[in-house]
Amino acid sequence: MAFYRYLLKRLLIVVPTLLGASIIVFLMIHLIPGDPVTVMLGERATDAAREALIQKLGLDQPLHVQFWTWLTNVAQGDFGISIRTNTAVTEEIFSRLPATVELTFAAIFIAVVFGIFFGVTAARYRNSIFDQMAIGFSLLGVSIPIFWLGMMMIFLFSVVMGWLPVSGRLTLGISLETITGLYLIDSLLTANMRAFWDALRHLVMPAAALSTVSLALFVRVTRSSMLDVLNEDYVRTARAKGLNMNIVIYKHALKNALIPIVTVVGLSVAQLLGGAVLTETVFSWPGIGRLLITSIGFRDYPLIQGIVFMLVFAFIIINLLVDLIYAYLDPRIRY
Amino acid sequence: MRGNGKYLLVFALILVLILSVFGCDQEEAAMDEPVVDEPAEDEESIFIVARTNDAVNLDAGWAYYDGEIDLIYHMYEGLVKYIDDDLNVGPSLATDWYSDEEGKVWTFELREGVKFHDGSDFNADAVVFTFERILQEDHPYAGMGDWSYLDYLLGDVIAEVNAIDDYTVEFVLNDVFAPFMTYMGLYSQFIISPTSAQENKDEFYRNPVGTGPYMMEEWRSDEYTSMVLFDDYWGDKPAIDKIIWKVVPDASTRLMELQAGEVHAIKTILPEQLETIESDDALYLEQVPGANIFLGNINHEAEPFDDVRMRQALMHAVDFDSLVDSVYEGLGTRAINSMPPTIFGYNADIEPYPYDPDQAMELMADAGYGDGFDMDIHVFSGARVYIGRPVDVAELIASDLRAVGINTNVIVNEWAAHSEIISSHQHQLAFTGWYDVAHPNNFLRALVLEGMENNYKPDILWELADKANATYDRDLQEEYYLEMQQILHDDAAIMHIAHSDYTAAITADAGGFVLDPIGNVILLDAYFE
Repeated sequence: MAFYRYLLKRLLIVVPTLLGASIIVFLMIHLIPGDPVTVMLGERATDAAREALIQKLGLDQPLHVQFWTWLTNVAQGDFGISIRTNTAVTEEIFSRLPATVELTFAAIFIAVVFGIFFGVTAARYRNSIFDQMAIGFSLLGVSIPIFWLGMMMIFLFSVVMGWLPVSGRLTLGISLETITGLYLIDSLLTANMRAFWDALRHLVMPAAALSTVSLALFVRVTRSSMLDVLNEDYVRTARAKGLNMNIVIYKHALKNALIPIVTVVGLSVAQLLGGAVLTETVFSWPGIGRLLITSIGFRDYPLIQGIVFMLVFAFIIINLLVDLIYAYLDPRIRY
Repeated sequence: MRGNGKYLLVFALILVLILSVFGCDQEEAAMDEPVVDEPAEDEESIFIVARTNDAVNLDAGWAYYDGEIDLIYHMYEGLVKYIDDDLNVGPSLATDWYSDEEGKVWTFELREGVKFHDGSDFNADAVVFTFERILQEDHPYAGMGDWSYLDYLLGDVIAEVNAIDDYTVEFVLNDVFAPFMTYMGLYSQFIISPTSAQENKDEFYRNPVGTGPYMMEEWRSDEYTSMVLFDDYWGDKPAIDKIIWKVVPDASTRLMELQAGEVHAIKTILPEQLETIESDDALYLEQVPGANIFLGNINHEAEPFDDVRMRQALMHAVDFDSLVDSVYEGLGTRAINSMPPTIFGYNADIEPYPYDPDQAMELMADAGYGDGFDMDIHVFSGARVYIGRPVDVAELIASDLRAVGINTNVIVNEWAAHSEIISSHQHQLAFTGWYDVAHPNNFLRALVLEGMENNYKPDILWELADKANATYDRDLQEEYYLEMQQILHDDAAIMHIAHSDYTAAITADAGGFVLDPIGNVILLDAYFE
């Protein structure tokens, strides 16, 4: 029962959090000088043209009225219409979200697999050359600018070697029926292997570039967490009774070392869902990050509000999931 | 260390596996990839262009942003079309046109047998519909859009559009209007299908239908838009079967797309990419002087620039030639007047104020500012079509001004905040610019008199601009425009800086690529060798 009460409490907190975030974002975007009309009209923003457009867009209403209108609409599931594209905000977000989700999960997958493997190995052979290399590379991974790394990867693998496509999600001309918007999944669902390979080849470089920071982080966290666990008595006992080292590490030690790792993985997922603006720009990836930047540039208030709302929601849910995974990983944790 | 070696081995194996999978696949994929440099005889020819931005609105009457107009020129047509760089017009959907003696009623004879992409017929009603939906208030099929170039250019000019019979249409103007025929060739006056506009109403901007040689095939927002040849096109069909407009926001990625052979042309080249393109035999560069200008807006009511001597001092104090060289790096020319030198009516006799810091200091002393003064320069961050690196320009100008004793402070804002400062006249000197139809009216009137927030609107300029628009005689128009430019120069009214070139790079096997003075890519005559 306690668990369900906890879950309910956590879910109820979502409402005030979203409301608070919405108010802050609303105030902030209206505090930045300039408005959508100025941006739209550009060089031609004469007073008369501005007035007409401000009225047309309903921006002449007082701020609190605008916010209240927005809020009551959201309560009814209506996030409004994008000022720039005249398209429903939800439609805009859902058309971009799959690209970001696909890229995020691919990057996290790479980071988790390699991060944990390198982290565990580094801890296991502490102070060896491998350990030092892992630490060195993880430092490099955190500090290397993704923009630069992306460029170098494109230059090497696309322009020089010709192995991978330069940018985009799919080779122009390859048709793919969109079901989920995740191209890898859609192509599998429609048994379109040509599109699957093509989408995978497009995904590799941006995912690898995007994974570097998380990968480096995971290596470090895994290593230090693993080092702690490896010093525990039960590990010594397990080894003393002659268990294979691989079993000791991957079956007994790793599970206990996972809690901090799960925390950083959760945070990374939530962070990357906000869109990796640089990666999405370098690789022409049509995701949420680019949409958010464009909408801020255009002062597209409804769209900015919608995206931030979605991100806050994703953050809360992922944090909740992380907390729930703790309980699974460590039976001592009870809610 | 035995275990260590084993793990490394596993890792190496995984790497080999991954590489082999992609290595194999790329050969396979290369074979069936439709992106080919030289299409086989019977294969459809596809031309791919990479650009910074995607289109948002493809309704000809409402399209306006970068990324939209390229596409409009392929899907729609106007009554007339441009036949040279001076924007003289020739027949398109109209076969003939003439005005009454007074010059207020223009009659167009329309081409028969023309079909829209939706199969409906092009006729006089379509022309009337196209103009009325934008120009009439509360028209039920006005469509979606924020700002219409058609309304901006001709809203106050056109009184009525009447269908005389199925293939004759007349435009009744409020007054004689010199640029009328020039404007009729511009994209915003292109004819749309009434059938589709009525069917799709507010969704027409995403389902564009015109009479042009290409029709929309697929549009993946912020990824690409593709268009294919329209089977029932009335005129000669272009050689390219399909055009794909790919969105590649980053300039370096665009160039690499071109180098890797994944696209055939890229729009908007950075100066630092020139060398790479020029040294690559597989590529060539297109560069056209753009109908645009980057300038310093001097607030004539902000002290001390209410004094013409101080404005002249500014002009003498800055070394514009080396500034343009170092910032535009060969992709722009120094501006001397408020309009680009490529347009008719340009005053080539005007010499710019020479770079002469001593003269600047003398003028300042005359005006009572011999000891210098404090000054703010406002500039926007981020590129616009007429300037790639605005902040660098501001810094260079500031350093020249400091050299003559003006204590200059550069204030950088992003565009929206910056334009608010200008429109509320809070600036002394603020950078801005303009791009428009390549007609003097769009610079000397639309920019200088209507667009500039600089507290400088002398009556004489209004009179001359009105007179120029009230005659169809180009020689007379020219006379008025020359005089306007002379006055602007004598008053040192505006700090003219540069006109930027529009650029594109194309693969060597693609010919017939056109970049027009407004920066549009036109592929109607494109072909592969």
